[in-house]
Amino acid sequence: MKKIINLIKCEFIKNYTLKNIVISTLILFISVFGIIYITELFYNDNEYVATYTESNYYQNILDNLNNKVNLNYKEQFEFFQCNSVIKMLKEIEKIGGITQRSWQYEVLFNKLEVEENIFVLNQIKEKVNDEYFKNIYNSNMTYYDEYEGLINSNYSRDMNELNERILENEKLLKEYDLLIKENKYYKYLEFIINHEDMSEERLNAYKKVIDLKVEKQSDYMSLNLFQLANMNYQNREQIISKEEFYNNYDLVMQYKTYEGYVRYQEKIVSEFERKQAIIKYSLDNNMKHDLEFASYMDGIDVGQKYISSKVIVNQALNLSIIVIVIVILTSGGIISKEHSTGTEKILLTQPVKRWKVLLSKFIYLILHSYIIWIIGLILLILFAGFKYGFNDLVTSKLIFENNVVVEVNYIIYLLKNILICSIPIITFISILLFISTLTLSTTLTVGLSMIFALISPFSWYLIYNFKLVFLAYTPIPYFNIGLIINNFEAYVNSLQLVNTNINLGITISIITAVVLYIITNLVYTKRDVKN
Amino acid sequence: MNQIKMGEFICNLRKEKGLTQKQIGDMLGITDNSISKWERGINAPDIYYLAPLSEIFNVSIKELLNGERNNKRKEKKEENRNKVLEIKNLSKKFGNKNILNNISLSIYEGDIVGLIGPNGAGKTTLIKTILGLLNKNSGSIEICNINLEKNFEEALSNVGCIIEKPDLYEKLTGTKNLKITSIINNINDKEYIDKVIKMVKLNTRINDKVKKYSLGMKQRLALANALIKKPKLLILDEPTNGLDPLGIKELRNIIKDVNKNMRISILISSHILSEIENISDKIIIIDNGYVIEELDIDDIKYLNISLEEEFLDKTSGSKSQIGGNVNEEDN
Repeated sequence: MKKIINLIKCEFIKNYTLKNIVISTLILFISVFGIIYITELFYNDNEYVATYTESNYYQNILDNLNNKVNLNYKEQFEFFQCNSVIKMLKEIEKIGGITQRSWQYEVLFNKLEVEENIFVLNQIKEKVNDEYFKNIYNSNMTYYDEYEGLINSNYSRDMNELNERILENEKLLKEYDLLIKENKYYKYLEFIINHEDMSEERLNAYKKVIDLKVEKQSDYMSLNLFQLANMNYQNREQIISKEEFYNNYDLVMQYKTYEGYVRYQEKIVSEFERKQAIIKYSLDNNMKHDLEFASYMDGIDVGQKYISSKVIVNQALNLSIIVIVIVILTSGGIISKEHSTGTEKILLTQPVKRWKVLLSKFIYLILHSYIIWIIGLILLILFAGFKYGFNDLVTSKLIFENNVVVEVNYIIYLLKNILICSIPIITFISILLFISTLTLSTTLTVGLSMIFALISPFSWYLIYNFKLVFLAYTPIPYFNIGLIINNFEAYVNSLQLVNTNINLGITISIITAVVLYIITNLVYTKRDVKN
Repeated sequence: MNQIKMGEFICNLRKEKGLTQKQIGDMLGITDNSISKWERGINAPDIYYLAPLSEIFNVSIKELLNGERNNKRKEKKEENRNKVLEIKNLSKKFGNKNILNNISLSIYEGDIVGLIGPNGAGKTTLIKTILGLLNKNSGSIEICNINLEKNFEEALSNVGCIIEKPDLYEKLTGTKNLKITSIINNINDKEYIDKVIKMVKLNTRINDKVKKYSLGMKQRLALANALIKKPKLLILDEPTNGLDPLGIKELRNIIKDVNKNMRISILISSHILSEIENISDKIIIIDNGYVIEELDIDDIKYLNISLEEEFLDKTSGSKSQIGGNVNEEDN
């Protein structure tokens, strides 16, 4: 045992050179920040919002109109509209941080429309018998530009009616102004309830947000409410009988077998129930969850998602491919390179049996992988903590077990899953050692290993879209087992064609690792070292 | 040389061994009549037969020529002198080709043994087999009386080696290279390690990366690496390859120093016959996987034999292997 530990120490001395440390650090940093960027992109609403700088466009129109002497009605309206838009853009800039999905944007936009209505109503009121307005109103044209459309919808020769409409619009304008001034989300929802018809689920969700007096639209409690409302609103497909299935041509073409259909549907249902239960628990206990939503399954709009520290740190489970790539690049030639340079004789002429030398290299690679992984995890924790708060990381993780939502320690949950995700990494290391030992070629080892590593994240796509079902019975798709843990879309789709799960993946990985290690050991210990 | 005395001595030795003239003749590939003529003092054995006779009767060539045993030499060969390496009937094949054929040899404590042979003779194969880098097909190897096959780790803990070129981790410093060997062998004696570094004259460059070393420095570092684990046997396969005369001289002095002061036995193979002659106590000539001849350096000097001629004669298509056939008329 002591000799193996000593050999492992020597592997660290040999391999932890400045060059390898720089390569590993660079790749890890770039990858981790890449993952964070993609995650935030997925969760954040990055819809474009026009800023005040866009006002140059409208300012140009204003300047052109200013140079004209007598403006006709339409030009007067355009002049007014440009000024109103510039004012609106100023307001957007003043509030700051809003997108086209923000309630404030909707209110300001509606306010602009109301102001335009008032302007056109006043124009009509002033020149109610003007042939210009009458002609537009009486026209049979179905396509109007904006201005003509406003005239057509607002025209009346009844002065009282015109005045009433103006008053209504002015009242609405004041309400919009107040909403912007107060800038509280629940006030906006109260306004919506009073002015719109909606479904009962939506109404209940809004009422709960109002009761909680949620001020920010991005507040996780209100988003939890909307998520749950959305999920409750969805109709779940019932699983049909075998006879009905085989009588349905479209279903047979899609799923091929009844077992595949049932497997997939059951997965969808179980996922739905899990998410519904967790959101409800989060609501009842005033907690943030860290669910990942696939819009094809969950019907959750990007505007109804929120990001938490846990969502970022959860990506640690997807670091496995990064770990594999770093291991390949820094240690791919752990056997073949030593053979080609002749340095393997340094170890093999020491008083240590060859199987111990091989085992020490194997253990070194495993430890090396864990070191990279832990550093990646620390980077994620630091980033998430500083940006989204460390508090979230010390609260419990919600998991759905035996039809009940349970709170577990988040860090222990994470470490346990990293351990599970590392089993296929150990398999990968066996494959790397196997290729390196048999071929004694670093180029071939690095090349083949990279191919397996890069195919891995796309395996589920290949299985589902190209019907390469055999891949599911190799260890390749399971190198990134985090995709299964998080019910990655392509993996779930693959269930239509193949009966697989995390246990099968782990079993295949373990068997592959053991078999390949035994073969590698036989070759390594018995081979003549001729060079 | 007294031919009659020599003949009587051969006769006595033969009787001591319980062998007949025919048996000796068969071993040497000659008739019993030739043996009889030697023993009666009519003819003296040709120089080609001296080495095989020396081997059969376990006496030196000098003793054969003198017709009597040398007591001092006898002491040296007493069994209480430890063997550091004993090889018995070692054979090694690559595919169908025999590379080593039934090789037997011994190295005693304190000896420096030179191993010479033409290219492809099997020197490196023999060395690699001793070190466990190649799997033998038959025979046994014992290092310090420990069977290599049965107790690999313990046996190899007594051996340090340099095989062909110096194998070092080029991207690491000299210190780290030595550290790796000392960790594996559990050597914590810093004083000893410093002593070894000083012995190989690398004190000023030991913290530089090996890729910056000259070939001579690499050889010396490789030697230090081999000495770190305090071996009883040092195996050096062509250590002077590529070195300039100064480098060769430096290495020779270190080897002699190591043998004298640390009592480490050395097995050294080389093409440079003069170096081997300069440094060794005993020389083994190997060709086509056979041990052709074993010569004491004293015998070579006494007989005024040219090692180069002996080497060329024995290995350049010669049939005079032990047990091989020799034309009787040559005798």
